[in-house]
Amino acid sequence: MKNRLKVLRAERNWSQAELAERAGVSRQAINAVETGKFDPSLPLAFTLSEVFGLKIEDIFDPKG
Amino acid sequence: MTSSPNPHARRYMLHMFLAMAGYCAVLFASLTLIRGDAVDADWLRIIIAISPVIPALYGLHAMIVFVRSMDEFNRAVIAEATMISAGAVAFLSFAYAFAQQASDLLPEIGLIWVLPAIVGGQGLAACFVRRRYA
Repeated sequence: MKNRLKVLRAERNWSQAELAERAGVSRQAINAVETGKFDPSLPLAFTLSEVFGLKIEDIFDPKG
Repeated sequence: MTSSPNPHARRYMLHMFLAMAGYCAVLFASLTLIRGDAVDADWLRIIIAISPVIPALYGLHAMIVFVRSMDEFNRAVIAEATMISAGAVAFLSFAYAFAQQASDLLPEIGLIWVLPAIVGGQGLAACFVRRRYA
């Protein structure tokens, strides 16, 4: 699944580790989601949307 | 598993150390009693022989608690690696048993190697599974 994590992170000048800490997951988890190799669960997707202050569909593209 | 030591990892290491120390102590006591012929009754010898499994089960409990503390990505990696390892050991032993029935050349392999094979295989498989997500 495509996502805008990398762009959103760059806009806020956050490292993967920083985003991981804010979302309460490991850096490896953020990297795997960011590269599209691991699809997050709904709770993690909600957590990420909350961290960025955006809607889930503004971060993830299910058609990707 | 996460790379930096967190409270869950520290607690896991402590409980695993206790489990392994208990395992070594119980194993030593068990072997001393059985080899010293201090116990005659077969049923009691069997109970003493399997007693090291109890601290090992405590280690398994510590491992399960640790895995539950992980995030969903690391849990997925561990679950996949465990499935690969358990499957590989099951099918290799299955194939070996067939081969053993067909030939006297192959030696007997004790069931005691099943657990180390699964644990070792899990560690190895986790490296490959993790690389796929990197």
